[in-house]
Amino acid sequence: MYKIGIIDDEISEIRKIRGAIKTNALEGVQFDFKIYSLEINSGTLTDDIVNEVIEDIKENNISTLIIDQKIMIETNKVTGADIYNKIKDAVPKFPMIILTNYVEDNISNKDLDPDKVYKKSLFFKIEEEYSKDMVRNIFINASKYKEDRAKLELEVDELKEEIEEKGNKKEVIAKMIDKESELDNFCPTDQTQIDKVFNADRIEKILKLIKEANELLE
Amino acid sequence: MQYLRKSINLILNNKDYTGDEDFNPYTLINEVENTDKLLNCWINIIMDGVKTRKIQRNEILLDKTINDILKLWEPLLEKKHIYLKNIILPDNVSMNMSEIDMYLILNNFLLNSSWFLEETAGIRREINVKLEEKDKEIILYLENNGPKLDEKYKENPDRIFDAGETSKDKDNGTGLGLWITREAVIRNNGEIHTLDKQEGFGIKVVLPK
Repeated sequence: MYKIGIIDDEISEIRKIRGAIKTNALEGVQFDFKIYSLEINSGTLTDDIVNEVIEDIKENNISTLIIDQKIMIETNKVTGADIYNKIKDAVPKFPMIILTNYVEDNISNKDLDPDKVYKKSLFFKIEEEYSKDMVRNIFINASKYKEDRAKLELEVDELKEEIEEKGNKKEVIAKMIDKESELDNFCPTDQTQIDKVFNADRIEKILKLIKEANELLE
Repeated sequence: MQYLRKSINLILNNKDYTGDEDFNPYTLINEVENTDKLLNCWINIIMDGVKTRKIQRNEILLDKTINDILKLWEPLLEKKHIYLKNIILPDNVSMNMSEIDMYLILNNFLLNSSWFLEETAGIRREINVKLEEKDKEIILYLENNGPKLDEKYKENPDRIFDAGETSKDKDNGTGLGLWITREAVIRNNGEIHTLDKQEGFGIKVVLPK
């Protein structure tokens, strides 16, 4: 089951996005939608949305995200590219796309992958190839993400069990750290920057140096 | 659209639609109708001012003309969450001019305001229009609470009315809108200036009676 997150300010467009996916999803694929609500008076709308999405990614509540490029509400304006980039910084491997009528403007944004920017008017032409291809891409990317993440989670769990059974072996710990760092790209694991650069060999060398320094001082 | 609704009624044997809400034909027809209305507004904005009688010089009631133009714009502005707030138009202020010039003045200001207000966040986006009648002149104040005039015009703010001048980037601005506005004012022996505002942007149009 795929849960597709949608961030858009217009209900008519949300209906069209869902309609395109319902029409062009491959037969037998199960999916559902989560529509993110946009708080009218929030002064930190982008961060609020990003935090909610990241929590959902952690909890495995969504498997892909569709973001409208231009989100205008009563007193606020948010660009889809801002949301996209913030989520990408936190979860680089999470599949997302931006829907816009101004593809060229967004492609010229060097921080955006051109393949992730879809032309809205064509996406909504549900009987045409472009829409079918794009919907297919959304599911292919979501499927790849789910598989890669599940595989990494399994590997991390197995390594945890190995540590519990065999104790803190340096090689296993190093492998575990590598896998957790890799998993962090798919699902934030609340690793600190220190955790991310942690390297068992380096720590061992540091400890050895401290020991030698202590011996010299003595 | 009424025929389409009727056709669907017949297909459904006058029963309610019970299928997937994202494909509810009645909702879809309503949406098409709304889009149609907005497109119609645009066409009216473009076409209304160029009707023959509006090109000819006549004694026109400014409050009525301005109100008519604002009404055309209202749905389009609301779609962008932009609101016409303080509209002060005293009754029976008349002037001898061609209506098309008032359309040019207002349309260019509203189009510019809409572009800049769309870039604005953190406040309710508003446009104010005020008409004042003095002994020898009529003054029209047009203001919005969007960004202030670009710093590059600080020394000589009225340079923004010169052809080719724009605060927008090169892909979005031609620098002709406010120049056309000034031409329309000059044709009526008037003057146009930017307003010195702490917040937002505004222009003052003075037209001799």
